[in-house]
Amino acid sequence: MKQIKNILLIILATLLVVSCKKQILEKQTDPNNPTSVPPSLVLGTVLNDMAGNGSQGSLGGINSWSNVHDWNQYHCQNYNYYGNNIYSWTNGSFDPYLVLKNVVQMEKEVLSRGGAAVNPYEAVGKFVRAYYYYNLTSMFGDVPQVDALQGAVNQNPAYTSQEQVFQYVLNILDSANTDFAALIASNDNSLSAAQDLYYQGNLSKWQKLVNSFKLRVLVSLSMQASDATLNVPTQFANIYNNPTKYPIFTSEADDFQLVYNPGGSNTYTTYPFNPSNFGSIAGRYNMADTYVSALTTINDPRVFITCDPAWALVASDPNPAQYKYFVGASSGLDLGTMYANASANKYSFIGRKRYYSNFTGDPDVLVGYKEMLFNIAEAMERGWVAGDAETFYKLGISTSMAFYGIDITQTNFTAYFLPPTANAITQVQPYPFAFNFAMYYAQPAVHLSATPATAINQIVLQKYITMFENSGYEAYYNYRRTGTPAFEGGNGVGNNGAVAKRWAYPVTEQSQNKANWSAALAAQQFSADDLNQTMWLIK
Amino acid sequence: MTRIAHPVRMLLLLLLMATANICYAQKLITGQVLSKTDQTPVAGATVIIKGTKTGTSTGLDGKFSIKAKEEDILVITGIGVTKQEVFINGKDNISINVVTDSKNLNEVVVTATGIKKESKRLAYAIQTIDASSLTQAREPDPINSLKGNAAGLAVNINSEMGHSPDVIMRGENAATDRPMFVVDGVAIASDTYNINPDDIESFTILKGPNAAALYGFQGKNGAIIINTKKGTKDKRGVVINFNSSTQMSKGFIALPKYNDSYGPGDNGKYAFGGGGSSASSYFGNGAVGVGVNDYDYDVWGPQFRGQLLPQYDGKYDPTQSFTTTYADGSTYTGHVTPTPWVARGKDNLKNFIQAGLLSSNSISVSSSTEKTDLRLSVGNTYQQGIVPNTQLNNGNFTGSITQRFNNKLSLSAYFNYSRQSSPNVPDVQYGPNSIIYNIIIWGGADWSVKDPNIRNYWQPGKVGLQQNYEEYYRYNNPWFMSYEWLRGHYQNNIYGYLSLNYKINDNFDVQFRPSANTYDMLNSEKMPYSAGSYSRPLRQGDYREDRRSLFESNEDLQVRYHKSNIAGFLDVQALGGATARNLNFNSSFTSTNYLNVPGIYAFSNSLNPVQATGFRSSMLVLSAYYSVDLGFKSYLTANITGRVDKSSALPSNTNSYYYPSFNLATVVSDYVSLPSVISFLKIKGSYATSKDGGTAPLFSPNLAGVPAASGYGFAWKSAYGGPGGGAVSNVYPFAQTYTLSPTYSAQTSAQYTDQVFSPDIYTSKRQATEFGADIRFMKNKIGLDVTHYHYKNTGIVAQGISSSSGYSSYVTNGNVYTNDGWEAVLSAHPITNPRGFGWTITANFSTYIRKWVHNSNPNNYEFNGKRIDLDYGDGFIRTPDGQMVIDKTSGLHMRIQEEGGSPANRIYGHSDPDWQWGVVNMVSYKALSLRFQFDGLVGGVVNDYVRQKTLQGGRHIEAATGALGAARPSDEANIAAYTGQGVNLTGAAIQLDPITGAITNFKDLTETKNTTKSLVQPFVYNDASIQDLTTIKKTYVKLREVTLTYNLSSSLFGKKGFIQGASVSLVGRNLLYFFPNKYKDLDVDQYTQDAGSGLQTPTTRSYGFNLNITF
Repeated sequence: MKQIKNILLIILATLLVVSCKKQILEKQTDPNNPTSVPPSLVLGTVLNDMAGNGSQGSLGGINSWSNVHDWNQYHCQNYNYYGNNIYSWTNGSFDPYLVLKNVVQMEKEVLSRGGAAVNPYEAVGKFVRAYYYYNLTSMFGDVPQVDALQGAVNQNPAYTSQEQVFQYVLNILDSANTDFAALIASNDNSLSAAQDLYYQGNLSKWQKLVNSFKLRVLVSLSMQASDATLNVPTQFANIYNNPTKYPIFTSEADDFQLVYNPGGSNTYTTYPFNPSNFGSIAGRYNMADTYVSALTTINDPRVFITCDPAWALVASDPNPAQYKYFVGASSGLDLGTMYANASANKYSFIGRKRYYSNFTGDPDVLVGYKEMLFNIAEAMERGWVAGDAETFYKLGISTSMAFYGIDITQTNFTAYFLPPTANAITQVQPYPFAFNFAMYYAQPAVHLSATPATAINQIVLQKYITMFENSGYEAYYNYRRTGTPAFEGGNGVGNNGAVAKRWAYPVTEQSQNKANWSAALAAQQFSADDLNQTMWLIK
Repeated sequence: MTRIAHPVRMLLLLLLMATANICYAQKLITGQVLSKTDQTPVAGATVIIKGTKTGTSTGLDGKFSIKAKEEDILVITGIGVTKQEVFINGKDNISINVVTDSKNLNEVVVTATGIKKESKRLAYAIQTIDASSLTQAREPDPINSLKGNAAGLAVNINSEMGHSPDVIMRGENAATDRPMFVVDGVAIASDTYNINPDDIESFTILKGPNAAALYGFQGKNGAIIINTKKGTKDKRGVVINFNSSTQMSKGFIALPKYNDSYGPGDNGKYAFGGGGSSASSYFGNGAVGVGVNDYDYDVWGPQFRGQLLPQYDGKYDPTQSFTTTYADGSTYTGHVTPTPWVARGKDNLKNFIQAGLLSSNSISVSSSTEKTDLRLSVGNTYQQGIVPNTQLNNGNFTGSITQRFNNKLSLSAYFNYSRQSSPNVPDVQYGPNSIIYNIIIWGGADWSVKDPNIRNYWQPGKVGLQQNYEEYYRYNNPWFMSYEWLRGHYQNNIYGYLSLNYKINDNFDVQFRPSANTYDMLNSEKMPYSAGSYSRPLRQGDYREDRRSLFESNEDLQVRYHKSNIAGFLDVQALGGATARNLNFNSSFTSTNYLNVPGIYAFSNSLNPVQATGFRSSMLVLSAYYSVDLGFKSYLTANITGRVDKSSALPSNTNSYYYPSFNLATVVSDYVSLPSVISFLKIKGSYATSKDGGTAPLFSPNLAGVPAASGYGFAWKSAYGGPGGGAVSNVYPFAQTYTLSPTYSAQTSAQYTDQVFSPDIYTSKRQATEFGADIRFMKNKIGLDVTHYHYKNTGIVAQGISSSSGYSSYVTNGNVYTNDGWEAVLSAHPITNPRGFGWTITANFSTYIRKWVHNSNPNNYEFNGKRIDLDYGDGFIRTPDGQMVIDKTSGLHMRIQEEGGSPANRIYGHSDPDWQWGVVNMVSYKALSLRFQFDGLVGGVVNDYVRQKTLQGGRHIEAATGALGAARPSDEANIAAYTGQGVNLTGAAIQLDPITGAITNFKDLTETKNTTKSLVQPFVYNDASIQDLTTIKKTYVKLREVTLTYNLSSSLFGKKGFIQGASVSLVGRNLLYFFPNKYKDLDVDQYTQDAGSGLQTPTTRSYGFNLNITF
């Protein structure tokens, strides 16, 4: 009897142990988060990250009025507590790779759901890779590419030379163009419109973006145009001369841009400056001299739209819409002086009407039509393609002016400034001004020079004005490449007063990827991993 | 949980059945050994039949049973027991009173899983603290009372209401490395706010894994065992005890040192442009920011000189214009009538804050009979905060019963129900939601909290819509915050256990003990219209709920064996057990996205779609364990333990793991003749390993556990993440998942994890070695217990990997570090005067150093061999002889990380204190007794965040006195007048060492004394922007407690009086604070190991009285 009882107990116990084991297994899995999702959900994160809105991959904040545009010397932060204008690039970030990891996952999710090898997600993914690798290498120099994105399998990716990274970027853009062409031909509509915040699933626009972006990449290689592997002029010509195979932007409607939400019921992604924070931060950003001077020295009326006058200079003059009243602070000025001057109204501030009256502000253009026009003009001046550079140059200027409400066929305009005595942002006052485009264009500084070297500087200056508060680091990259416009150094930019030439690699690379990091410095002949080394791109 | 079983348990069951069959033939004699002095049971005494080797030992209750003949003589011996012989004389039941021996120590302490042992047998560090001396001077959380009382235990008392302390043992301060709390042998995963101090008999502090190996990984960091009071009796069979305590808190011991000379604004300029009846309040349609620096300002405005300026108390008249001209020539024209600029609110904080109150009352009834011990108690603690309209009610209902059905079977049950509720507790997170932030850090003295227009916080005609204040973008009226912006806290917490004990025979006991611990908590926040916090700029109100619930159960089966005097020399105590631990945790955080109808706090009233996040987790751990104690006569006690866990918190390939401990103790003085001055000497040594899956031991529902991440006052944050914590960011670190969150236009999108994990991962573990000695001198008048320990910890860690791999961290084993420490407890009874005068001192000291063996994320400062608590950061550039370098253009101190592209850091020191100490004195004379306690820290550094922020804000006294104070008025005229102390270096660009930040090209530089003047505001801003000037030493001393008690003797109430005894006490806590820093603005009490302080509500003294009556 006892034997049987014992055996039963043992059987019972065994059953219980087995059931517990199952329970333990069940409890090991995370009930809160999925291990697989539709690719469209990943796309939303990736595209949002590119706009600088996500938790990673923001390239240091690419939104309007973020640090990026201090470093582009469009505006200055004068309020020490919240920021400064120092090129604080001593510890760069590799987190764009985390975004690219999401691209890898997105591609896997398509395939695991039976998607075709060529599908809109991988095609978009190719562009995203090109976009981030272009920026990574432009910021740092050599960066891991061949070995990158392999997860735990390769925790110490070797660095790929900048030349090779550019080659990869150009190739993958080519491949994306081919894929988009095939997808458009087959009427593929599987790209989620809801998650595509830029083009709502319109593949034709994506295809134009790919090629227009490639033009930017090629122009950025101007100092290495003779590189035999990359063959920059030929690649540029291939695109420009074959719009059927390589469609490019045809208007601003094609711009790759983030449009801000109007607030109200949608509080996500509103313009960083808006009526709700006017009181707190408007005085803490004044205009930078690099930008304001670029406009005022050529009597460019866009300054009346993007800036308010320095009211201390206006004093009692009833007509503040005069170039002499528009003054920016040097980005190299120390903040104590800058803040005191700013609070005494000795500088121009951001145009209150345009940038504080609503929640949409200006869209954040990542890759735009206007920039492309100037890129084509520059390529023509460089002799990469044949054509009339002036046509593109003038079209770029007039399109940009139109963007700011200046129709060049007209001569009378109204600027709106917030007088210092106003009681509310709504009390902006109209100030009429006259502008004649023909006279403007007739100025030697504006009229496209017959000397290509001069003409290129004119083109780049107009592009700089056009890219005001948008296009990520393009303004800085172009300055670094051409010296136009001359960025201002001094105590306020740190780095012993010099404008930085590059970002230092993430400090963690020194401990987590030390051998490859050292090898990369040696390969590039960098004496240190600091801001003052000259990378291949600008040699 | 009857589903749970385990092979070990099965074996034990079989073993049980086998032993139950052993038969005895003699007559059974039962008895109980009691101490002659206090009639308490003597456990572990040996009872032998004289002239034989037959014997037994007494149980925990002092009881024994033995087969003997009627004429036999029993010999009672034991540690701390004077040998005694007793004739059985035909009795079946004998009560034996023994004399306890002062030479030996017969303290019985409660160790892991509720096992009582003589302290003499213990080989590891343990400290017992009598709770009766801690209940007069109250703390809202009973654990706070332990501060300074135990060597190696840091209790970081948080003075904020409803916040329980951070309890840290031996400096192991990681979130997953906290000691566990145990009530009567049963683990509770919640905090201790739910325990009524009057229910506590004593605390036993087990300091290391050696002590707590039997609890499993929860006990890795030691345990604080709370022994509750049980049924007792007096000659009437019932005891009723009433305790009442009332304490007031008033008088700051640490207060920010602020100036009242300057008002709000920036660069010496200010003009109020809106507010009142203007269109100032922004509701999506108006305007803000029309004055001069009257929004989101600092306290860098004009000096108070009585000059006329537009201010909040000026009349707004749109038909009139007033022009103010500033010293720098700029002007402002507005519609607010200028009024004199004076410091109306010099004492705003003192005037706003009220006396706090802590009032607790509890009553207990207990009785004890032959069969039954019973105790019931009810208690309530009411706490009123120093911030107006804040309070917390904390009620307890506790019951315990022990029923002895017969000699063999008994059942104990215990439960505790606690209810915390408060309609409003203060918010102390840094931000516009905090009163301190609003009054001191960023608030000026221009307005007075007593001003009726501030006190009546609604604007006329806009009740419920618009607060009345003097700033309308960032800050909030403190009265409005206290009375309208309400944060409720409601919590039910229940724990309890059943313990069924069966005495199989003289040597075997079996115990089955199921227990449960569960809470549900609701924190709610009603944010009124016009209240502003970070990320909620539209000021249209919100309602939020943070809900958390925990269920934890432990089923434990234990078989115990004890046999004394085996073969004349060996005592054995052994036990084996099995436990199933089941844990479920759920939380959610829900918030409106602004409100439609003001004042209706409901999710249905959300203007935009409701935002909600939630979190669920569960865990199951199956364990089996054993412990064997071997006593070789009185020479040596050896203890061996082992435990095996199978845990769902780890991947399958690593989720079963075993960890042992070995302990040895010997009382040298028992067999070696020592100099007579040494009355007792014990030497002990032990080794233990503990292992775990990296989960936190506590799942605290208390307010301190409301993390910033849950978003009090913030927009869309996830709910409390639950039991994960630690270095690994994911609660389920071994799952690779997507996170879903809103992106553009509130579209839900998915992001893949940035962590990968090693397939070869194993449990984290701690290997601990401990040595110690317990020496008593001069007939035990002085005792010194010294312990040295060495830990080697190996964690599960998110090791940073190059992000170019696509992942930023690799979850693997690593971060190996050692922790070496010393602990000493000195107890002395200098005076024990027979005429009633007595003096006892207990002093404790502890120190430890933690160093990297293998740092998984090393950098140029923290690497193998270095301390793990290194504090480093950006610093100011200094010349080789230590002079501060000033930029010649700006006149500001130069920071290392701004210059030369150098990522270098300055090492400030280490954040762990060098040592911590406490001294408790007890002086008594007849019925009067006085207890007072000092404790403190020596060494270690902390960044004084209060000073840093007050400096940045311009409100700190430093920014208005001395040379800075003299130059500051010139800021108004935009004239740089302050010459910073330091040197200019010219001649070349300064080059810095990329690691130390030292100047490397000093010989190329020309050093001249700085003459460049700067404005005061940018100078102070720059100085306070990094921790260089605000990092201070932690050294402090506190007079923690003074208690003066008068015991009224029962004779006062008559022999047959209703009242059996009573005592009254005058008490004070937190009375004096010695902090040898220039600014006594921080109470470092709660920052024992922190490198930076928080934004602390100023701490206060508290004093009151306590009355205790026994009926």
